[in-house]
Amino acid sequence: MSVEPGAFAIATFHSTHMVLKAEKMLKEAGFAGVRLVPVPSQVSSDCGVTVRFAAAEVARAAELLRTLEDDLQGIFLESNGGWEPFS
Amino acid sequence: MHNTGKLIYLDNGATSFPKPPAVEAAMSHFLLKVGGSPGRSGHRLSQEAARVVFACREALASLIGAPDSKRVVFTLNATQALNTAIYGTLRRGDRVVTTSMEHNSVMRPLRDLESRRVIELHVVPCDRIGRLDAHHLEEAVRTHRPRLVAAVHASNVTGSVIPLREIGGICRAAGALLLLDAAQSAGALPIDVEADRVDLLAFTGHKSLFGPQGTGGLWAREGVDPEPLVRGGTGSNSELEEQPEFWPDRLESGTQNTVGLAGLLAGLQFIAAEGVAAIHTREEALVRRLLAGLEGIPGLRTHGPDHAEERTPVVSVTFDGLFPSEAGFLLEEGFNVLTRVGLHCAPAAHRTIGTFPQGTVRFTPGYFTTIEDIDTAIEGCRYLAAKKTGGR
Repeated sequence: MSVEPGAFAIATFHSTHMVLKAEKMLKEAGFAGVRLVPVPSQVSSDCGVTVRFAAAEVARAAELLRTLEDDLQGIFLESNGGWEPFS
Repeated sequence: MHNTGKLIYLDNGATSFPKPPAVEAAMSHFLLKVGGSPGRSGHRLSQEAARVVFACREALASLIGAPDSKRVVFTLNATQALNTAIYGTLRRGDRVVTTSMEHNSVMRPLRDLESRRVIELHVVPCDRIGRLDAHHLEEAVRTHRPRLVAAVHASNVTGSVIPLREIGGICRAAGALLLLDAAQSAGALPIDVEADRVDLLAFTGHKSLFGPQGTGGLWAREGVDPEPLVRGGTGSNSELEEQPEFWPDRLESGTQNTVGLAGLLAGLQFIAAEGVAAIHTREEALVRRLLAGLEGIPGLRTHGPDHAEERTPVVSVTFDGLFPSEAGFLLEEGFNVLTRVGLHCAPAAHRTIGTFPQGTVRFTPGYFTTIEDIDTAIEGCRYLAAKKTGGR
């Protein structure tokens, strides 16, 4: 899967608590540009937030976030104005 | 008489007062500058509110040694947490072991389930100074093979502390869940849920954690998943009409007391900065001075363990020929000393120590109590005791 220049990735979680946990983990691991954004409606109907980071770092982020096991719902990459699941 | 006008607050066992100044500042900041609803919207004020709740969860988990902060949920108080643990865990036919020093926040839910024949309840008697003998508990666990053991960590009547690590070992070995009522102990005594082998822990925010009233919570070990007492909006899985199973949302429906949690977070940060051990040492010194000052006053009896190091800062007394209610009133009128009298919502504990039904006068110093405050309380007790024995 090719990453568009300047694109973002997001990771989604069931709870706001886990979103904030993931944000903390990413920040502590030195990821740049980590911030909370509203969950894109194409991805989830939840009313909360999700954590966003640079798509260029998605592989390293995925490795870290998968340690959260079942708490991680999915990772998505910005692509053609939409969101594609990252696997 | 010694009524200087300064209020001497010795009722920290009911709720701590005053709070560290940072608690008020954090709540004020939340109301003035944050104000959003946590986990409900994507905007920055909602995010900031969510961060307060998140940080509070992490701080609480760190205080009790819980490995995963998502398994800390916030409630209105310890009572709601205990009710969630009890009603959410127990099933028809379960056997439960508890102690004779329990507060009604444990005893009433258990007696309710017992009276409706949902559970079988066995109460392990404690001794006259409120101590739980681990051997008695072990015997009860062996005989009754309970699904749950519910125990108060530190008594709100005598300050007596259970041998937690030993009890935790007994419960774990027998395959019983240990529900710890830490209302009086969280923040006042070191707790490590891993080493102490606790399965469910209920805490309140407004006593030794220095938060405001309306804060408290429950922690449960991985694999222990109480059913919620309350179901509703969580900001998550909004497409579903069923309650989510995952933590913390499964047990946190409706908008949280976020302003309260902002205050609780400041309280937890105060504790982290001071250290639980330092807080305990300071409070122990106050209790030692109080016990020493009360010793030998004719017509006055203290209840609970003899030594300050065996208790949390709780000292219950009775006066010969004087009802606790009168004594409490006279202490306030004559000395501005504020105590709590009566049964302290723990009739079983008072039966255990022989002070039912009148109860006791309870002095509960706190972190901000001074030596002078303790001395005034002692002077007040001496005055009351002398008055009753015809000394003046």
